[in-house]
Amino acid sequence: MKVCSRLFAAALLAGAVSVSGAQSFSSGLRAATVLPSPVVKLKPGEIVDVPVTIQIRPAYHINSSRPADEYLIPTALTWEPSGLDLKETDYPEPELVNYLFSSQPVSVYSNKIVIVSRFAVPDKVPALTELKGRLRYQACNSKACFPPTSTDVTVAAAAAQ
Amino acid sequence: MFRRMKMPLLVCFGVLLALASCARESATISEDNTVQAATSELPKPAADFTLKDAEGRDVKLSDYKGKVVLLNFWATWCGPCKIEMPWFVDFQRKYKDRGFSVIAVSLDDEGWEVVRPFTDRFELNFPVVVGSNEMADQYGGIAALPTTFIINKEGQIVISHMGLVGRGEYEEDIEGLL
Repeated sequence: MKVCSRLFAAALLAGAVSVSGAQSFSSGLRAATVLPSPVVKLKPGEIVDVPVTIQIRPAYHINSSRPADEYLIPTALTWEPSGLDLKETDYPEPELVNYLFSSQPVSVYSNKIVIVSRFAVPDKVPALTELKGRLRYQACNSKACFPPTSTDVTVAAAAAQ
Repeated sequence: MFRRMKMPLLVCFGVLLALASCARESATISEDNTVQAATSELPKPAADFTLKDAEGRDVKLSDYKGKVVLLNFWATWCGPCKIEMPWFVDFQRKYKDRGFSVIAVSLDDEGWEVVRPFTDRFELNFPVVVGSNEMADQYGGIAALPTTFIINKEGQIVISHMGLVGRGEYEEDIEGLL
């Protein structure tokens, strides 16, 4: 039974196991992948939506942008200065999921989510080719958690013709 | 005859492979983000360390030689770790006088700023220290939390658990070594 439970735990943790070079703790697990976004067309004086789509590995979740537990690390999308004026970032509605490890539902994202940042384009459109940002998140599955990590977000941008 | 034996032999082989993987439970994350077992065999010597507790006192693993030690890697942001903490408090109370101690190593980047309020809130009755990546590397890299090593009285890691396991499983491990 003990063997079975350990194997079960190992299988849950492993997912699709393969062999290659290992990372240390701080490197974290890339449980989330930022998918390519469409090119953002910049029109003078207009508001432009920049959607960022994130694919989360099956059987994993990342904390929402507003986890209920004070100790949990929220998902956050931040942008480097670009000459555009960041108005707001809308995060999707989280799922409230009951896990074995929590006495109350945990506010999480899983599968595929889209975060939308809204920028004001100045009258004189800056000469941009891309917007650069960072997505910070912390992932768990039902048995274990992985270190908080950040991944680059790059969205191509061009002045509208 | 051979055919009849073939399936049980395969089953035995599978069980042996499974047992072998249990002895190598310390795990790491591969380049393609998967978790895999480390190649080191158990038992193996537990790497010694000296780290400070919240009061600035040294906690040195080798000082615990002659005791069974449950060495737990955790972090405040780790939900499953929080489930285990009250168990560890009970184990410390129950087994301390029989030559047992929990030592909890936090891997929080923010260190005592976040760990101290947590230890106070959960009224942890065992040594808690703040670890580092270098220290975690000595224990195979610590791919996920919680990760717990059971160390025997001779200072050898004899069991490792990655992820949340049952309270009863820990108690079996401890009782078996005391």
